[in-house]
Amino acid sequence: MAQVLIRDVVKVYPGNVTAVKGINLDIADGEFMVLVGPSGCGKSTTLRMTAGLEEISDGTVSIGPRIVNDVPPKDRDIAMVFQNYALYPHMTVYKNMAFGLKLRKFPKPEIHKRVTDAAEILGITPLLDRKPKALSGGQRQRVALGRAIVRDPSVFLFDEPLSNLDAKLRVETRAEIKRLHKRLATTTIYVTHDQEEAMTLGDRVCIMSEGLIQQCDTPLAVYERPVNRFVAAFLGTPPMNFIDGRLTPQDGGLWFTNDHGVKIKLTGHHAELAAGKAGQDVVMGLRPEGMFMRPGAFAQNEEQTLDMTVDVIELLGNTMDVFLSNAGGDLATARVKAEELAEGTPLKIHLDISKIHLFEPGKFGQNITLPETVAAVPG
Amino acid sequence: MSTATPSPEPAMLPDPNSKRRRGGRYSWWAPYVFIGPFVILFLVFTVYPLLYSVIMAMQYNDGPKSAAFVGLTNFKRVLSDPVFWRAMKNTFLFAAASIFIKLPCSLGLALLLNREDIRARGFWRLIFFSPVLVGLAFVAVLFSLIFEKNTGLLNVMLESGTQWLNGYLPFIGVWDIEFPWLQEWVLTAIIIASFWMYVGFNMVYFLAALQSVSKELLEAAEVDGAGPWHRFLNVTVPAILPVGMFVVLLSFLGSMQLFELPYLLLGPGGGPQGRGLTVVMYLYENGFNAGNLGYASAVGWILAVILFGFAMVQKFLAGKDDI
Repeated sequence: MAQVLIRDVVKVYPGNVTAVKGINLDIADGEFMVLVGPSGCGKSTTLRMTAGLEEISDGTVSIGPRIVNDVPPKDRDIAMVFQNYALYPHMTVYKNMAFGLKLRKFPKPEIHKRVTDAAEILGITPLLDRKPKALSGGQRQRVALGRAIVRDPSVFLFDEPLSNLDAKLRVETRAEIKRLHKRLATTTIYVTHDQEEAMTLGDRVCIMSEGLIQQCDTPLAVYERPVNRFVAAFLGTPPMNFIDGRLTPQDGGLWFTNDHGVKIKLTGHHAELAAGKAGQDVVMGLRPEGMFMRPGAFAQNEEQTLDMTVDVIELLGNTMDVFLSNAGGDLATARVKAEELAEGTPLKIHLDISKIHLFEPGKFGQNITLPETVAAVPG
Repeated sequence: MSTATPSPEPAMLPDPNSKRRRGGRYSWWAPYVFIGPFVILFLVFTVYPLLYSVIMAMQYNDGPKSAAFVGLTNFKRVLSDPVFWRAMKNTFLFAAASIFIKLPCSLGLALLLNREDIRARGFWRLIFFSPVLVGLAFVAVLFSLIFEKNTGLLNVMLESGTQWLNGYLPFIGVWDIEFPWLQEWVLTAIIIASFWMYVGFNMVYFLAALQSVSKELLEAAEVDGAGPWHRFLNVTVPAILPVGMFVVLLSFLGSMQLFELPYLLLGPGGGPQGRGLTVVMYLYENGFNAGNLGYASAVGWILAVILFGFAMVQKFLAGKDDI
């Protein structure tokens, strides 16, 4: 096991395309770090540079005590699981798992012990004599996991390993990876574009966009305290609602208002932190679960409501997503307890003010309602 | 007063069982019209000659009016003719050279021109492929000049090569080279000419196969600890094996049917003492020069059995480890 240090790493592809723009990341020994972001954000490139499959244009990557920029992949003491399993089609499952050990000239009894132990852990012992083509997608991915764990490497690298599995299998394999990490406690870097995977697997989640780390923190922290609008929008299903407006001082208080009749009184730390921005344009972010159809424990203040109309309802069992709009064209989605509700009904939506965020305008607008200590450490 | 809603006009709807459908645009014989031309041509130009050649192989036949049934005599005569065996030996030697020298070179060339760090890869691929675009007659004329004993390009180059080497290794001396390519080393000359012509052609097959090798698999092997040789052996070779087997089969079939190049380069007899005589040249000589079509048919069928046997072996090997 080892810590991984990524320092000012840059990747420039031919044609002067910069995929990674100088990122810094400290991954502790035994930590499960998830890199998440949309396609082209540089997450896979970062992983591949750590693996040694891509040259590093600038900066350094260290695994354990040594800088590995010029160390070939086979000597980095890493194991990687690929999106398309990357199993050798002409070899049996046993040979696939033993291949790396054989190349490293491990004695045969040791290879046998490691392979059978790993197969036991992953529940693939009955498959050892089969070839990959005779396996299902989930079984193939388990074999790929097995091939990685037999090596007992310092670092596991996962490159979107669950993308090819169906939804049910994805959830099962996700749990399996989590269990495996708890058991082995090996430093892990896991790349995905699926925020659900990121939130459920990672000790920390690193959200990337346009070659930069936007925020790196625990899953709960990035969800509840997003440093900018991009992070806020990326995490959460349904995603956070955004309403454009401005901060208006009025009646001795600070209000979020817009020309469509939205008028919400800011209280508590929101009012304190946003006070310096009075008069400026901002974007309000509201989580769907922070919106209620009637006043309750979290939303009592009548000055913190939105007048909206029900457009569409999606029933999800005991909850439902209510898609709302107002006359000015502001859109929002509320996730509420399921009940009888007709489309077209006008509603007064009560807001849990503790769940709202105010962002500066723009795709990467900073969250101005975070304490400075959080907002200052995005990467 | 109530008004009845008119029902849809039945005649407007297509009826799948209507006579019009069966006897009109969708007639039962329409498909046969489409496949008819092919079937007729296939029967006339493939099936009939094939069956007739079986009959002819069992006839003494030097023309349609002098055909006489002789049973398996033609086959016995062919198999006891030393000239046939010499032609067979030459043909097999050529096939072996194609498979064991030319194809590995094609693969090597494909591996080289598949590398991303090679400049102007497209240009080099075209250059190596281009000989196959040249006609066989042209190649034969070209190589008859290259192989000329005294003034041919090859001997001149070899001679100047020894002169150059002599500057570094004086003890080897300067050789006065007059290698008899088209007199004694006839088969070698044919192999060289064929190599020049087809090495790039086979390279294209291997290139196509190499481009389909999974990059992720190569990377997985690299992370697993495999160096370039192990990656080639454990990832590339298994991935290109089906194409490789196909190219071997094609090369063998092509070699067994070798005719134009030696015929144009050496003439009907295959050069001095039949050193360049191939099975198909032997067949042609007997069938069309000597006029014994029955005998030539027997040679043709022996060749067909060999080709079929090889194809079956290849099919068996390819299916043995279906990946």
